[in-house]
Amino acid sequence: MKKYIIKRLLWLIPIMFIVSLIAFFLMYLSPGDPAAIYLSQGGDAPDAEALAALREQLGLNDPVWVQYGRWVGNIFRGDLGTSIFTGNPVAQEIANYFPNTLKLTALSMALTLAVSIPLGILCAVFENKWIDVVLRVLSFINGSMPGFFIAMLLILILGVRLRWLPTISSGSALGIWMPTFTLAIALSASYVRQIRNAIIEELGQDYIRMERAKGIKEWAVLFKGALKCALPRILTLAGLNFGALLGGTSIIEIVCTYQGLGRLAVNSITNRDYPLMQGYVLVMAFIYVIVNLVVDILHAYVDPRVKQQYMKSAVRKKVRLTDGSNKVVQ
Amino acid sequence: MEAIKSFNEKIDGLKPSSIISKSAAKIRKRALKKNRTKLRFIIWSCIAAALFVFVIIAPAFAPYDPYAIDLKNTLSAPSDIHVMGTDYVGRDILSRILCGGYRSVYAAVAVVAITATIGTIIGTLCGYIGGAFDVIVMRITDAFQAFPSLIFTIAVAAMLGGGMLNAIVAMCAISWTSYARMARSSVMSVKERTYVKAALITGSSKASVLFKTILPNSLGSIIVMASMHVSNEILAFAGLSFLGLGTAKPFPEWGTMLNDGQQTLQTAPWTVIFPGLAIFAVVIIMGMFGDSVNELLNPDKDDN
Repeated sequence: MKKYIIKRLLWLIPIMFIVSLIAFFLMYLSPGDPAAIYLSQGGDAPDAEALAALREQLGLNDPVWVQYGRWVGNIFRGDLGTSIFTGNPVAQEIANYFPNTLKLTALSMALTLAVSIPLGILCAVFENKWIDVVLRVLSFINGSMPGFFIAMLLILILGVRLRWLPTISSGSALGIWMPTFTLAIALSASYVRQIRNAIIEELGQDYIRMERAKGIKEWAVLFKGALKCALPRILTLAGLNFGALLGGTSIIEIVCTYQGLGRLAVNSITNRDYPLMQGYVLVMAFIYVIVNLVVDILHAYVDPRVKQQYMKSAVRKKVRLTDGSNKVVQ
Repeated sequence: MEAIKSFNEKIDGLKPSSIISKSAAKIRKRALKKNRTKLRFIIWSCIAAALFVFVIIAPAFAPYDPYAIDLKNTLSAPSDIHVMGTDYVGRDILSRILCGGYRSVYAAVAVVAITATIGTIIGTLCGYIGGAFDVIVMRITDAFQAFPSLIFTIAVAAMLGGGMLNAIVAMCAISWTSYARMARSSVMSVKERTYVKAALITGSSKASVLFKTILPNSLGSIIVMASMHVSNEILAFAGLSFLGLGTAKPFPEWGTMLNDGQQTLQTAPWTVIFPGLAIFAVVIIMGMFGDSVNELLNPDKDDN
């Protein structure tokens, strides 16, 4: 297990290297001169002398590899650059908006699980009965709607007609609920289905038949047997989605005018604020990779079957390595 | 007593005669199910094909010019004259929906076709060649998958300068990775089968084994994945054009219409609801089509 963790940690280095290369060149190849964008913010065309001076100051005349090296070097010193648009350090901008997006993601994930675990169990228990069919059709319909369309419908219903929630999320205590409901509705579509399938699969296992044969009450079989064994898988799914969701809430944040990181990122693209964009992409990719790693390791600790699999696969690999030499076909 | 009764019932269920009759019933049921999935597949592929044709000929049914601005009639509610109402500059929404469909649908199909092809080629090479090439390419796909996909797509689309073609390129730039992974794993599993080894031992060249034996046998999962991805890509393209990066502004496109409608959501909800329902309908059709393909080619697996 320890070996596995160390190996995974070491793999982070090449992955983050490639991520940084892509992030850098994505912005490097973008049209428009950052110095010109910076100087023309007041609306006037920049004068040539100031432009040349700023280019020199920002190091834009250096060869590509020098620029990349400097960028990476600064990152290791905790300096992600300065936002062209606001003039604040990128790290500070991201730190300002990150808690909002984290709060939104955590809240919607919690709400999604709170809704879809009971519904998923219901579907699994009444497999192929009318309640299962209805819920599956609903979740299919739900999953076919674009998230921003759901957001707009919610704004229309909860905000405009019923007036329960503010239509604009920023600057109000209740504001977070509109994007939260949207994300929870959009996510629960696939969650209900996956939880249903996970529990049905567990219910078909031999140990469940054994428990039933022993005469254990059906609710105990369901909650203490099947659910307990399916839960690690469900939570792993939620954990992996959590990493993806942190970087995937932008459109909802825009529609609900929520002050989150995704909205900041999209705005930075439209403003051609390259340093902010690069910083955001890099930080989110890093968080995503780390979250995946932590979830994978936790999953192995929680679910003994997975842990055993790691052990097994390690053993199998060793076997394959020893008999690989006398293979007929390579 | 209750327990004994249920125990007896269970024992009854285990009698040999019932096992035989049950399995006969099961076989019959399975055959029926197979026929049903085939039928479902045929029906949904016909509907999907009809949709592909319809979005092309739909502009002919448009009652008005989708670009015609009528400033006297802005934001008029659905009525006999304008069945779905008009938008903020008085353009007929029904006409715009009918004229905009083919962009969304064919952009998604193009993305799926391109990414499935490129991803399959890369993944197959990885699985077949293996070694350092495989390791490097797989790390690259890891890196691509670490990016927040929407932001990455937006950044590439913005870098290329918007427009439908660039949006397609941007969407391809990130979604090839899942096909590469899928192709790699299925090639790797097929590669170990006896018939592949037999083909190699009997003297077929490596290339001919790859194209004639391995590839045809590993394409099933790719086809399933591709057919299930069409609806996702329609949603992704709608999101991109909602942000103004899908199609240039005057062209009618569903995501763009939702973006326009967002400003007038509270006063004129029909500017949002009808384009939204159009996306929804197309996504449902393509989703059902993908599901039916999945059921046909993956009969053992449950839908998920």
